Amino acid sequence: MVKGFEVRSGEYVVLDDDELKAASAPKRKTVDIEHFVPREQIDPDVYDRPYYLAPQDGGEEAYAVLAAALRRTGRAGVGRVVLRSREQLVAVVEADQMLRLDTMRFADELVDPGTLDHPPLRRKPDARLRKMAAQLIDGLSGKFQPSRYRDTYRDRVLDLVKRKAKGEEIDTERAQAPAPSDDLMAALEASLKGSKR
Amino acid sequence: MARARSLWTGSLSFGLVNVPVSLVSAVRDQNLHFHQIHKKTHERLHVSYVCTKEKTPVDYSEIAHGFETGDEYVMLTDDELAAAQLEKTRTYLVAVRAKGDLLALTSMLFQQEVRPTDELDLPTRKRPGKAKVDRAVALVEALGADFDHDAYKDRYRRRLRKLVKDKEAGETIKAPPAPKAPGPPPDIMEALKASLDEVRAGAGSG
Repeated sequence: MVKGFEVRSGEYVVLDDDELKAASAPKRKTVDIEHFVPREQIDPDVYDRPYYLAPQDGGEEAYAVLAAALRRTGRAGVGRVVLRSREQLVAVVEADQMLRLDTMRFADELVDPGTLDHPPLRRKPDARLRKMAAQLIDGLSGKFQPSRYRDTYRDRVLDLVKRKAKGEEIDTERAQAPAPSDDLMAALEASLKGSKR
Repeated sequence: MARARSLWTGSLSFGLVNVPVSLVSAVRDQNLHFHQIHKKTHERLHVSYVCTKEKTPVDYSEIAHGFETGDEYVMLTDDELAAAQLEKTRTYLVAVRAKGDLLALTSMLFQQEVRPTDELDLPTRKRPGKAKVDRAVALVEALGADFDHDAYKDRYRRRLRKLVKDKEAGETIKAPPAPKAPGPPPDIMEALKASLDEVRAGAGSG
C-alpha cells in the first residue's frame, strides 16, 4: 500500500514512505529552538498536544539547567522538531522542574475570527448589566483545581454497560438546550442572589 | 474557501443566565491529504469491515459498539451511547474566555487524562549550579523575542507539495539518510559561554 496524491480528478502521484521522508528532511534528531518567548504571549488556541521531555543518561545536568532558566525567565523555547516524519512547531516549557514539549498549530491553521458568521455584536453592552455579570463571575470564582473535575462520561458509559449487561432497558431521550434568558437583568439578579447564599 | 460551519448549538449557562451560542472550530485543516493506493495497480483502496465469522464485508449500518467483558460483548447502540447524557459522543471539560469581542471555548484534558510524572522513569534530579543557571538565563534572554506566530511557516507542507510536483515531473526522489541525535555537551559551562558569544557576535554584526 502506498500514498497517492490526487493531482487531477482520478490521477494520482504515488509516493512511498521513503520518498515522503524527503519532505521532513531532518538533518539532526533535535528540537531546534529558534527563540525564547514570554509564555503568556502564546494564546492557548495555538497549543495542540502536550508531551513530557525526560532527561537521558548524561544529559541530566543540562536538562536541569535549562528547566531552571526557563522557570526563572518565564519563557518558552519555540522551535521545530520532526515527529512521526512531520516537522512540527513546538514550545518547550518548564513545569514542576520538568520540561514539557507542546506541539503548536501554525498561524494559517487557525480560523480568523473575522470570517465567522454571526449577528453583529453590540460594541458596548449596558454598564449595569456588565457590572452585574462581573459581580456574578466574582461570586462564582475560585482557584483552578483540576482534581475537582471528573470525566463522568467514562463512568456513565461503564454504568450503561453494566445496566445493559443486566438486561435493563435504556432510555434514549436526548438532552435539550435550555431557552435563552429573555430578561438578562432579571436572570443576573436572580443568579447573584443565588450565588451569595 | 468554505465558510466555517457550527458543529454544535446550545446555551452557555452560568447562574440562571443562558446565553445561546453556536460552536465553530477555531482550527482548520491545512494538511495535504493522500489516498491509499495499491502499489501494483495504482488504483485506490477502500476500507471495508469484515466479519471474523462470516468472512464477508459488513455494511456500515450493521456495525454496533461492543464493550468487552470477559469473553462476551455488551452491545450498545448509538442512541444508547448518546443517552449516557451526552451531546454526540462525550462530555468535555472546557474553559470559556474572551478573545477580542468573541467568546473562545477551549477543551481541556481531565486530570485523569494527564499522565502523572511519577509514572515516568526519571533519573534522580540534580540541583543545577547557580553559575550555570545564570549563564543559561543570559542565553535564554539573548535569544529572547516576542512571539510572532505568523513568522513560523509550515515548511513540511511546502516541501510535500514540491515533492508531489517533482514526482509528477518524473524526478527520482531519494530518501535522506537517517538523522542522528547529538550527544550532551561535555562541559555545559563551556557550551553556554560559546553559545552566548555566538549569539552576541551575531546580534552585533546584524
